[in-house]
Amino acid sequence: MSDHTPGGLSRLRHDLRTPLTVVIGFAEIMAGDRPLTDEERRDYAARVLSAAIEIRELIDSGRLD
Amino acid sequence: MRLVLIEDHQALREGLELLLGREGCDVVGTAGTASEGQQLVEDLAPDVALVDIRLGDDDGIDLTRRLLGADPERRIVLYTGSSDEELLFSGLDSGARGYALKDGSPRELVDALALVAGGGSYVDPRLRPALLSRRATERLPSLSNREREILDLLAQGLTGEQVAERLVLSAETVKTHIRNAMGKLEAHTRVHAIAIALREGFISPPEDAGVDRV
Repeated sequence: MSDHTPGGLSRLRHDLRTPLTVVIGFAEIMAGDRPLTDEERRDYAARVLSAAIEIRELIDSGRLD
Repeated sequence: MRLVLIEDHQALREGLELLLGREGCDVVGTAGTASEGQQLVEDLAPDVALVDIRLGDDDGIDLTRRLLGADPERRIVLYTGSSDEELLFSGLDSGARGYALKDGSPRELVDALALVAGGGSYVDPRLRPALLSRRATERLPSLSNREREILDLLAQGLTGEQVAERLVLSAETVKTHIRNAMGKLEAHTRVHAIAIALREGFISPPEDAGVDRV
C-alpha cells in the first residue's frame, strides 16, 4: 500500500536504496580490475540478482503508486 | 580498524562485511537487530560501529542514544538510504559522529568510518544541501572568530587534538571553545555543532578533495 507521507516516502527510499547498495557494490567489484575466482563471480552475481529481484518486488508492491 | 556492523537487511549485511573486508576493514562482529548489536558493541568495544537507521521494528537512532548514554566515547556512524532532513538532524542529535548514505561507494564508507574511528566526524556530502538549506527558526548568537576557526577545522576532519596542535593552543582551551560554540548553537554534539554552523553560514563547507568530510 502506498504511503506518501514524508515518513512513508523516507522509509520507501531507504527500503529501495538498501538492496540497490548491494547491486552497485557487487557490480562495481565485478566490473573492477581485481581478478575474481569463478566461485566469487557466481556468488556476487547471485547477490546482485537477488537484490535486483527485491527491488522489482518493491516496485511491483504498489508502494510507489 | 575494528568494526561492528549492525544492519537488518541480511544481503546488505553480508555484502558489507565482504566489501568492507576487501577494503581493509576488520569486521569483528555483525548483527541484524538492535539488541544483538548493543550486546556486540558492549562485548567487543570496536573502534567504530556502523548502525543502520532502520533496524526492522527497531530504530538505529534509539540504539545510538542507548550506546552513547552508557559510554559517550563510543564512535558510531549512522547509515541510511534516506536523505530526509528531519531524520538527518534527529540522527545528529543522537550523538552519532558520522552520518553516511547508502548511495556512497564502499571506499567512501571506509573513509568515513576511518575518519570517525580516528576521532573525527563525517556527514555525507550529498546531505550538504539539506544542511545548507535548512532555515533558521530562531536567531542564533554569533560565534567568535576563534570558535569559527575551530569548527572549520573540525569540519575538515581534524580531531580536537589536531586542532590544538594546528592553532598552537592547549587541548583544554580547544575543548572550552568547542563547548562554548556548542552552547551558543544549542548543539548536543560536535558534529551537530558543525552541521548547525554550516547551515547558518558561520563556516564554509570544506573544499572538495576526494571524499568530502564535514
